[in-house]
Amino acid sequence: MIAGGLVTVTGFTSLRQPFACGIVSRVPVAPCNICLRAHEQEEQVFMHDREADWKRLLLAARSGDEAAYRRFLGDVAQYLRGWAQRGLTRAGRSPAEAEDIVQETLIAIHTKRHTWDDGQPVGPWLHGVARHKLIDALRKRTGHDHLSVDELAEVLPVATSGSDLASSDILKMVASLPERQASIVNAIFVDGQRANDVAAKLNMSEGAVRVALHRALKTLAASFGTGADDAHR
Amino acid sequence: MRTDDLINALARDPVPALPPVRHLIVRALAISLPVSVMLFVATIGIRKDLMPALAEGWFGIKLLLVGLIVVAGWQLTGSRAQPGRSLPLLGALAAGLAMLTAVALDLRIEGVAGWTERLIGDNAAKCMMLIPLLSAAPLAGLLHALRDAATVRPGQAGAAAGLLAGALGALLYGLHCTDDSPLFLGVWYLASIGLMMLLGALAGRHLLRW
Repeated sequence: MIAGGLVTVTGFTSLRQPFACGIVSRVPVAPCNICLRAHEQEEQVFMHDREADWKRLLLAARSGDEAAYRRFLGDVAQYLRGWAQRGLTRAGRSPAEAEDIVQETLIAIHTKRHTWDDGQPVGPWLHGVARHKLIDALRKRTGHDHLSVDELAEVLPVATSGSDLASSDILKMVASLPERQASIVNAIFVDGQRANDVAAKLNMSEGAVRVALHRALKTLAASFGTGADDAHR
Repeated sequence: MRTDDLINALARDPVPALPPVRHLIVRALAISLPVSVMLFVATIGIRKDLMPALAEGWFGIKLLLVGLIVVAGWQLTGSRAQPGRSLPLLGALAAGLAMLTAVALDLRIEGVAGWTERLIGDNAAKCMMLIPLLSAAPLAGLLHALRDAATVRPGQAGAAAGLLAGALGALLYGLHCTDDSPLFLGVWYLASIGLMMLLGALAGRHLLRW
Protein backbone atom coordinates (compact mmCIF):
# COMPACT_ATOMS: atom_id res chain seq x y z
CA MET A 1 0.00 0.00 0.00
CA ILE A 2 2.73 2.41 1.08
CA ALA A 3 5.09 1.17 -1.63
CA GLY A 4 2.33 1.58 -4.20
CA GLY A 5 1.83 5.11 -2.99
CA LEU A 6 5.53 5.84 -3.36
CA VAL A 7 5.62 4.52 -6.89
CA THR A 8 2.68 6.71 -7.76
CA VAL A 9 4.40 9.71 -6.26
CA THR A 10 7.65 9.01 -8.12
CA GLY A 11 5.75 8.40 -11.32
CA PHE A 12 3.74 11.52 -10.85
CA THR A 13 6.78 13.67 -10.23
CA SER A 14 8.68 12.29 -13.20
CA LEU A 15 5.66 12.80 -15.42
CA ARG A 16 5.42 16.38 -14.37
CA GLN A 17 9.14 16.94 -14.56
CA PRO A 18 10.53 14.26 -16.86
CA PHE A 19 13.87 16.05 -17.09
CA ALA A 20 14.48 16.11 -13.35
CA CYS A 21 14.68 12.33 -13.36
CA GLY A 22 18.12 10.95 -12.45
CA ILE A 23 20.41 13.12 -14.52
CA VAL A 24 19.73 16.54 -13.15
CA SER A 25 18.92 15.71 -9.53
CA ARG A 26 21.62 13.01 -9.32
CA VAL A 27 19.53 11.39 -6.58
CA PRO A 28 19.39 7.62 -7.06
CA VAL A 29 15.84 6.84 -8.11
CA ALA A 30 14.43 3.33 -8.05
CA PRO A 31 14.04 2.21 -11.66
CA CYS A 32 10.37 2.23 -12.50
CA ASN A 33 8.84 2.00 -15.93
CA ILE A 34 7.60 5.54 -15.96
CA CYS A 35 11.04 6.82 -14.98
CA LEU A 36 12.78 4.78 -17.66
CA ARG A 37 10.33 6.00 -20.23
CA ALA A 38 10.90 9.52 -19.06
CA HIS A 39 14.63 8.96 -19.44
CA GLU A 40 14.24 7.68 -22.98
CA GLN A 41 12.00 10.59 -23.70
CA GLU A 42 14.63 12.90 -22.32
CA GLU A 43 17.29 11.41 -24.58
CA GLN A 44 15.04 11.73 -27.57
CA VAL A 45 14.21 15.30 -26.71
CA PHE A 46 17.91 15.96 -26.16
CA MET A 47 18.89 14.47 -29.50
CA HIS A 48 16.08 16.26 -31.21
CA ASP A 49 16.53 19.53 -29.46
CA ARG A 50 20.28 19.74 -28.82
CA GLU A 51 20.21 23.30 -30.06
CA ALA A 52 17.84 24.52 -27.35
CA ASP A 53 19.81 22.61 -24.74
CA TRP A 54 23.17 24.05 -25.76
CA LYS A 55 21.73 27.52 -25.90
CA ARG A 56 20.31 27.20 -22.40
CA LEU A 57 23.63 25.87 -21.05
CA LEU A 58 25.71 28.54 -22.76
CA LEU A 59 23.43 31.28 -21.48
CA ALA A 60 23.74 29.87 -17.96
CA ALA A 61 27.52 29.73 -18.40
CA ARG A 62 27.54 33.40 -19.35
CA SER A 63 26.03 34.25 -16.01
CA GLY A 64 28.76 32.27 -14.24
CA ASP A 65 27.23 28.77 -13.93
CA GLU A 66 30.27 26.45 -13.94
CA ALA A 67 28.19 23.27 -13.83
CA ALA A 68 26.21 24.33 -16.90
CA TYR A 69 29.40 25.21 -18.75
CA ARG A 70 30.98 21.87 -17.83
CA ARG A 71 27.91 20.05 -19.10
CA PHE A 72 27.93 22.09 -22.28
CA LEU A 73 31.60 21.32 -22.94
CA GLY A 74 31.03 17.66 -22.12
CA ASP A 75 28.09 17.40 -24.51
CA VAL A 76 29.99 19.26 -27.19
CA ALA A 77 33.08 17.05 -26.74
CA GLN A 78 30.97 13.94 -27.16
CA TYR A 79 29.28 15.37 -30.22
CA LEU A 80 32.57 16.59 -31.72
CA ARG A 81 34.23 13.21 -31.22
CA GLY A 82 31.85 11.51 -33.63
CA TRP A 83 31.90 14.48 -35.95
CA ALA A 84 35.71 14.65 -36.07
CA GLN A 85 36.02 10.89 -36.59
CA ARG A 86 33.66 11.06 -39.55
CA GLY A 87 35.50 14.07 -40.93
CA LEU A 88 38.90 12.42 -40.57
CA THR A 89 37.69 9.20 -42.15
CA ARG A 90 36.23 11.12 -45.05
CA ALA A 91 39.53 12.93 -45.49
CA GLY A 92 41.34 9.60 -45.51
CA ARG A 93 42.98 10.23 -42.15
CA SER A 94 43.09 8.13 -39.03
CA PRO A 95 40.04 8.68 -36.82
CA ALA A 96 42.41 8.13 -33.88
CA GLU A 97 43.48 11.74 -34.34
CA ALA A 98 39.95 12.83 -33.45
CA GLU A 99 40.75 13.39 -29.79
CA ASP A 100 43.39 15.99 -30.63
CA ILE A 101 40.90 17.83 -32.80
CA VAL A 102 38.23 17.58 -30.11
CA GLN A 103 40.63 19.17 -27.62
CA GLU A 104 41.83 21.85 -30.01
CA THR A 105 38.22 22.67 -30.85
CA LEU A 106 37.20 22.79 -27.19
CA ILE A 107 39.99 25.26 -26.48
CA ALA A 108 38.97 27.31 -29.52
CA ILE A 109 35.32 27.28 -28.39
CA HIS A 110 36.48 28.38 -24.96
CA THR A 111 38.75 31.22 -26.08
CA LYS A 112 36.23 32.40 -28.68
CA ARG A 113 33.06 31.87 -26.67
CA HIS A 114 32.32 35.61 -26.68
CA THR A 115 31.83 35.47 -30.46
CA TRP A 116 28.57 33.56 -30.04
CA ASP A 117 25.69 36.06 -29.91
CA ASP A 118 22.78 34.91 -27.79
CA GLY A 119 20.43 35.83 -30.63
CA GLN A 120 22.27 33.39 -32.90
CA PRO A 121 21.80 29.60 -33.03
CA VAL A 122 24.63 27.70 -31.30
CA GLY A 123 24.90 24.88 -33.87
CA PRO A 124 26.16 26.84 -36.90
CA TRP A 125 28.55 28.84 -34.73
CA LEU A 126 29.97 25.72 -33.16
CA HIS A 127 30.29 23.97 -36.51
CA GLY A 128 32.05 27.03 -37.91
CA VAL A 129 34.68 26.86 -35.17
CA ALA A 130 34.96 23.06 -35.39
CA ARG A 131 35.32 23.02 -39.18
CA HIS A 132 37.99 25.70 -38.92
CA LYS A 133 39.93 23.59 -36.44
CA LEU A 134 39.46 20.35 -38.38
CA ILE A 135 40.71 21.89 -41.62
CA ASP A 136 43.60 23.39 -39.68
CA ALA A 137 44.46 20.06 -38.14
CA LEU A 138 44.30 18.29 -41.51
CA ARG A 139 46.55 20.90 -43.11
CA LYS A 140 48.98 20.71 -40.23
CA ARG A 141 49.18 16.95 -40.41
CA THR A 142 49.39 16.64 -44.17
CA GLY A 143 52.63 15.07 -45.21
CA HIS A 144 53.26 12.74 -42.31
CA ASP A 145 51.96 9.48 -40.83
CA HIS A 146 49.53 8.43 -43.51
CA LEU A 147 47.53 5.35 -42.67
CA SER A 148 46.34 2.79 -45.16
CA VAL A 149 42.70 1.78 -45.35
CA ASP A 150 43.46 -1.53 -43.61
CA GLU A 151 45.16 0.13 -40.71
CA LEU A 152 42.29 2.57 -40.58
CA ALA A 153 39.78 -0.24 -40.19
CA GLU A 154 41.85 -1.54 -37.27
CA VAL A 155 41.95 1.81 -35.57
CA LEU A 156 38.30 2.66 -36.01
CA PRO A 157 36.74 0.62 -33.16
CA VAL A 158 39.50 1.70 -30.77
CA ALA A 159 38.92 5.31 -31.55
CA THR A 160 35.32 5.21 -30.39
CA SER A 161 36.33 4.26 -26.85
CA GLY A 162 36.01 7.83 -25.69
CA SER A 163 37.84 10.60 -24.03
CA ASP A 164 40.69 8.73 -22.35
CA LEU A 165 42.88 8.75 -25.44
CA ALA A 166 46.04 10.60 -24.67
CA SER A 167 46.82 13.49 -26.95
CA SER A 168 50.49 14.08 -27.38
CA ASP A 169 50.17 17.16 -29.57
CA ILE A 170 48.77 19.40 -26.88
CA LEU A 171 51.31 18.22 -24.29
CA LYS A 172 54.09 19.09 -26.73
CA MET A 173 52.61 22.53 -27.23
CA VAL A 174 52.21 23.06 -23.49
CA ALA A 175 55.87 22.20 -23.04
CA SER A 176 56.80 24.98 -25.46
CA LEU A 177 54.99 27.62 -23.37
CA PRO A 178 56.91 29.93 -21.02
CA GLU A 179 57.87 27.99 -17.89
CA ARG A 180 55.40 29.59 -15.51
CA GLN A 181 52.48 29.29 -17.94
CA ALA A 182 53.38 25.67 -18.66
CA SER A 183 53.43 24.80 -14.95
CA ILE A 184 50.05 26.52 -14.46
CA VAL A 185 48.52 24.70 -17.42
CA ASN A 186 49.92 21.39 -16.21
CA ALA A 187 48.76 21.94 -12.64
CA ILE A 188 45.24 22.89 -13.69
CA PHE A 189 44.65 20.75 -16.76
CA VAL A 190 46.68 17.63 -16.11
CA ASP A 191 46.66 17.43 -12.30
CA GLY A 192 43.22 19.02 -11.99
CA GLN A 193 44.18 21.48 -9.26
CA ARG A 194 42.08 24.53 -8.47
CA ALA A 195 43.33 27.95 -9.50
CA ASN A 196 43.60 29.22 -5.92
CA ASP A 197 45.75 26.23 -4.88
CA VAL A 198 48.03 26.80 -7.83
CA ALA A 199 48.20 30.48 -6.94
CA ALA A 200 49.26 29.68 -3.37
CA LYS A 201 51.87 27.20 -4.58
CA LEU A 202 53.39 29.58 -7.11
CA ASN A 203 53.14 32.57 -4.78
CA MET A 204 50.84 34.44 -7.18
CA SER A 205 47.41 35.96 -6.83
CA GLU A 206 44.51 33.90 -8.13
CA GLY A 207 43.75 36.64 -10.64
CA ALA A 208 47.31 36.47 -11.95
CA VAL A 209 47.00 32.71 -12.36
CA ARG A 210 43.78 33.14 -14.32
CA VAL A 211 45.38 35.79 -16.51
CA ALA A 212 48.41 33.55 -17.12
CA LEU A 213 46.08 30.66 -17.90
CA HIS A 214 44.13 32.82 -20.31
CA ARG A 215 47.35 33.90 -22.05
CA ALA A 216 48.52 30.30 -22.21
CA LEU A 217 45.23 29.20 -23.78
CA LYS A 218 45.46 32.01 -26.27
CA THR A 219 49.02 31.01 -27.17
CA LEU A 220 47.93 27.38 -27.49
CA ALA A 221 44.99 28.35 -29.67
CA ALA A 222 47.30 30.49 -31.80
CA SER A 223 49.89 27.75 -32.19
CA PHE A 224 47.15 25.42 -33.46
CA GLY A 225 46.50 28.04 -36.08
CA THR A 226 50.08 28.74 -37.09
CA GLY A 227 50.94 25.06 -37.13
CA ALA A 228 49.43 25.05 -40.60
CA ASP A 229 51.94 27.64 -41.76
CA ASP A 230 54.87 25.86 -40.18
CA ALA A 231 54.00 22.67 -42.03
CA HIS A 232 54.12 24.52 -45.33
CA ARG A 233 57.37 26.30 -44.66
CA MET B 1 46.05 15.21 -21.47
CA ARG B 2 42.63 13.70 -20.95
CA THR B 3 39.71 15.52 -22.49
CA ASP B 4 37.77 15.34 -19.23
CA ASP B 5 40.57 17.17 -17.43
CA LEU B 6 40.59 19.79 -20.12
CA ILE B 7 36.82 20.22 -19.79
CA ASN B 8 37.05 20.51 -16.01
CA ALA B 9 39.75 23.14 -16.29
CA LEU B 10 37.90 25.15 -18.92
CA ALA B 11 34.61 24.88 -17.04
CA ARG B 12 36.07 26.79 -14.09
CA ASP B 13 36.05 29.87 -16.25
CA PRO B 14 32.53 30.03 -17.71
CA VAL B 15 32.12 33.78 -18.21
CA PRO B 16 33.61 35.17 -21.46
CA ALA B 17 36.53 37.52 -20.86
CA LEU B 18 35.75 39.61 -23.92
CA PRO B 19 32.62 41.55 -24.89
CA PRO B 20 30.43 40.54 -27.87
CA VAL B 21 31.91 41.07 -31.32
CA ARG B 22 29.66 44.07 -32.10
CA HIS B 23 31.06 45.83 -29.03
CA LEU B 24 34.62 45.07 -30.14
CA ILE B 25 33.90 46.60 -33.55
CA VAL B 26 32.14 49.66 -32.11
CA ARG B 27 34.98 50.16 -29.65
CA ALA B 28 37.56 49.94 -32.42
CA LEU B 29 35.69 52.55 -34.46
CA ALA B 30 35.15 54.79 -31.42
CA ILE B 31 38.92 54.91 -30.96
CA SER B 32 40.11 55.02 -34.57
CA LEU B 33 37.49 57.17 -36.27
CA PRO B 34 38.30 60.31 -34.23
CA VAL B 35 41.87 60.03 -35.56
CA SER B 36 40.52 60.28 -39.10
CA VAL B 37 38.15 63.09 -38.16
CA MET B 38 40.98 65.09 -36.60
CA LEU B 39 43.13 64.46 -39.65
CA PHE B 40 40.23 65.58 -41.83
CA VAL B 41 39.54 68.76 -39.87
CA ALA B 42 43.22 69.65 -39.59
CA THR B 43 43.92 69.25 -43.31
CA ILE B 44 41.04 69.61 -45.79
CA GLY B 45 37.92 70.20 -43.66
CA ILE B 46 34.27 70.49 -44.67
CA ARG B 47 33.56 72.27 -47.96
CA LYS B 48 32.77 76.00 -47.67
CA ASP B 49 29.48 75.84 -49.57
CA LEU B 50 27.94 73.14 -47.37
CA MET B 51 24.44 74.65 -47.04
CA PRO B 52 23.87 75.57 -50.69
CA ALA B 53 25.31 72.19 -51.72
CA LEU B 54 22.86 70.38 -49.45
CA ALA B 55 20.00 72.33 -51.00
CA GLU B 56 21.19 71.45 -54.48
CA GLY B 57 20.57 67.70 -54.10
CA TRP B 58 23.46 65.72 -55.59
CA PHE B 59 25.62 66.36 -52.51
CA GLY B 60 22.97 64.80 -50.27
CA ILE B 61 22.56 61.86 -52.63
CA LYS B 62 26.33 61.34 -52.57
CA LEU B 63 26.40 61.18 -48.77
CA LEU B 64 23.39 58.86 -48.79
CA LEU B 65 25.05 56.48 -51.26
CA VAL B 66 28.29 56.35 -49.27
CA GLY B 67 26.18 55.90 -46.13
CA LEU B 68 24.61 52.81 -47.69
CA ILE B 69 28.08 51.40 -48.33
CA VAL B 70 28.93 52.03 -44.67
CA VAL B 71 25.86 50.00 -43.66
CA ALA B 72 26.82 47.18 -46.05
CA GLY B 73 30.38 47.19 -44.68
CA TRP B 74 29.12 47.14 -41.11
CA GLN B 75 26.90 44.12 -41.80
CA LEU B 76 29.59 42.22 -43.67
CA THR B 77 32.26 42.92 -41.05
CA GLY B 78 30.00 41.71 -38.25
CA SER B 79 29.12 38.53 -40.10
CA ARG B 80 32.73 37.73 -41.03
CA ALA B 81 33.82 38.16 -37.43
CA GLN B 82 31.66 35.30 -36.19
CA PRO B 83 31.61 31.67 -37.34
CA GLY B 84 28.40 30.21 -38.70
CA ARG B 85 27.01 33.46 -40.08
CA SER B 86 25.65 33.63 -43.61
CA LEU B 87 26.88 36.42 -45.86
CA PRO B 88 24.46 39.37 -45.45
CA LEU B 89 24.36 40.56 -49.05
CA LEU B 90 21.16 42.58 -48.75
CA GLY B 91 22.98 45.74 -47.68
CA ALA B 92 25.57 45.44 -50.44
CA LEU B 93 22.83 44.72 -52.97
CA ALA B 94 20.86 47.78 -51.84
CA ALA B 95 23.96 49.97 -52.08
CA GLY B 96 24.71 48.64 -55.58
CA LEU B 97 21.17 49.18 -56.80
CA ALA B 98 21.05 52.67 -55.31
CA MET B 99 24.33 53.49 -57.06
CA LEU B 100 23.02 52.30 -60.44
CA THR B 101 19.78 54.23 -59.96
CA ALA B 102 21.71 57.37 -59.08
CA VAL B 103 23.89 57.02 -62.18
CA ALA B 104 20.78 56.61 -64.36
CA LEU B 105 19.22 59.64 -62.64
CA ASP B 106 22.37 61.69 -63.26
CA LEU B 107 22.38 60.86 -66.97
CA ARG B 108 18.66 61.64 -67.26
CA ILE B 109 18.59 64.90 -65.30
CA GLU B 110 22.00 66.39 -66.15
CA GLY B 111 21.93 64.99 -69.68
CA VAL B 112 24.28 62.60 -71.43
CA ALA B 113 26.30 65.54 -72.76
CA GLY B 114 29.24 66.35 -70.52
CA TRP B 115 29.21 62.97 -68.76
CA THR B 116 32.96 62.55 -69.18
CA GLU B 117 33.60 65.84 -67.41
CA ARG B 118 31.36 64.86 -64.52
CA LEU B 119 33.04 61.48 -64.33
CA ILE B 120 36.59 62.84 -64.36
CA GLY B 121 35.63 65.70 -62.07
CA ASP B 122 38.08 68.16 -60.55
CA ASN B 123 39.80 66.14 -57.83
CA ALA B 124 40.12 62.52 -58.94
CA ALA B 125 43.77 62.16 -57.85
CA LYS B 126 43.10 63.91 -54.53
CA CYS B 127 40.14 61.61 -53.95
CA MET B 128 42.16 58.48 -54.66
CA MET B 129 44.84 59.65 -52.25
CA LEU B 130 42.79 61.09 -49.41
CA ILE B 131 40.12 58.40 -49.04
CA PRO B 132 42.72 55.69 -48.31
CA LEU B 133 44.53 58.10 -45.98
CA LEU B 134 41.34 58.87 -44.05
CA SER B 135 40.46 55.14 -43.95
CA ALA B 136 43.82 53.95 -42.66
CA ALA B 137 43.14 54.41 -38.93
CA PRO B 138 39.68 52.76 -39.01
CA LEU B 139 41.09 49.83 -41.00
CA ALA B 140 43.91 49.35 -38.51
CA GLY B 141 41.46 49.60 -35.61
CA LEU B 142 39.04 47.13 -37.19
CA LEU B 143 41.76 44.60 -38.00
CA HIS B 144 43.02 44.86 -34.45
CA ALA B 145 39.50 44.25 -33.10
CA LEU B 146 38.92 41.34 -35.48
CA ARG B 147 41.94 39.56 -34.04
CA ASP B 148 39.85 39.16 -30.89
CA ALA B 149 36.90 37.90 -32.92
CA ALA B 150 36.70 34.52 -34.65
CA THR B 151 37.40 34.98 -38.34
CA VAL B 152 37.07 31.62 -40.05
CA ARG B 153 37.71 33.32 -43.42
CA PRO B 154 40.51 35.79 -42.70
CA GLY B 155 40.65 37.20 -46.24
CA GLN B 156 36.93 37.88 -46.39
CA ALA B 157 36.94 39.38 -42.90
CA GLY B 158 39.80 41.69 -43.88
CA ALA B 159 38.02 42.72 -47.08
CA ALA B 160 34.82 43.47 -45.13
CA ALA B 161 36.83 45.60 -42.67
CA GLY B 162 38.40 47.36 -45.67
CA LEU B 163 34.94 48.05 -47.10
CA LEU B 164 33.70 49.52 -43.82
CA ALA B 165 36.86 51.57 -43.22
CA GLY B 166 36.99 52.70 -46.85
CA ALA B 167 33.33 53.77 -46.80
CA LEU B 168 33.87 55.70 -43.57
CA GLY B 169 36.90 57.43 -45.07
CA ALA B 170 34.86 58.19 -48.20
CA LEU B 171 32.06 59.64 -46.08
CA LEU B 172 34.52 62.04 -44.46
CA TYR B 173 36.15 62.92 -47.75
CA GLY B 174 32.69 63.37 -49.28
CA LEU B 175 32.04 66.23 -46.85
CA HIS B 176 34.97 68.07 -48.41
CA CYS B 177 34.84 67.03 -52.04
CA THR B 178 32.86 69.15 -54.51
CA ASP B 179 32.53 66.40 -57.11
CA ASP B 180 28.97 65.32 -56.36
CA SER B 181 28.04 63.43 -59.53
CA PRO B 182 27.17 59.76 -59.04
CA LEU B 183 29.39 59.15 -62.06
CA PHE B 184 32.40 60.48 -60.15
CA LEU B 185 31.33 58.51 -57.11
CA GLY B 186 30.91 55.31 -59.07
CA VAL B 187 34.46 55.49 -60.39
CA TRP B 188 36.80 57.23 -57.95
CA TYR B 189 35.10 56.68 -54.62
CA LEU B 190 34.46 53.04 -55.41
CA ALA B 191 38.02 52.56 -56.65
CA SER B 192 39.38 54.02 -53.40
CA ILE B 193 37.08 51.85 -51.31
CA GLY B 194 38.02 48.86 -53.45
CA LEU B 195 41.68 49.59 -52.77
CA MET B 196 40.97 49.52 -49.04
CA MET B 197 39.13 46.20 -49.47
CA LEU B 198 42.14 44.77 -51.25
CA LEU B 199 44.49 46.03 -48.54
CA GLY B 200 42.16 44.67 -45.87
CA ALA B 201 41.98 41.27 -47.55
CA LEU B 202 45.76 41.02 -47.87
CA ALA B 203 46.34 42.15 -44.29
CA GLY B 204 43.53 39.93 -43.03
CA ARG B 205 45.03 36.81 -44.54
CA HIS B 206 48.10 37.34 -42.41
CA LEU B 207 46.74 39.01 -39.30
CA LEU B 208 43.41 37.28 -38.82
CA ARG B 209 44.47 33.63 -38.82
CA TRP B 210 43.88 31.78 -35.56
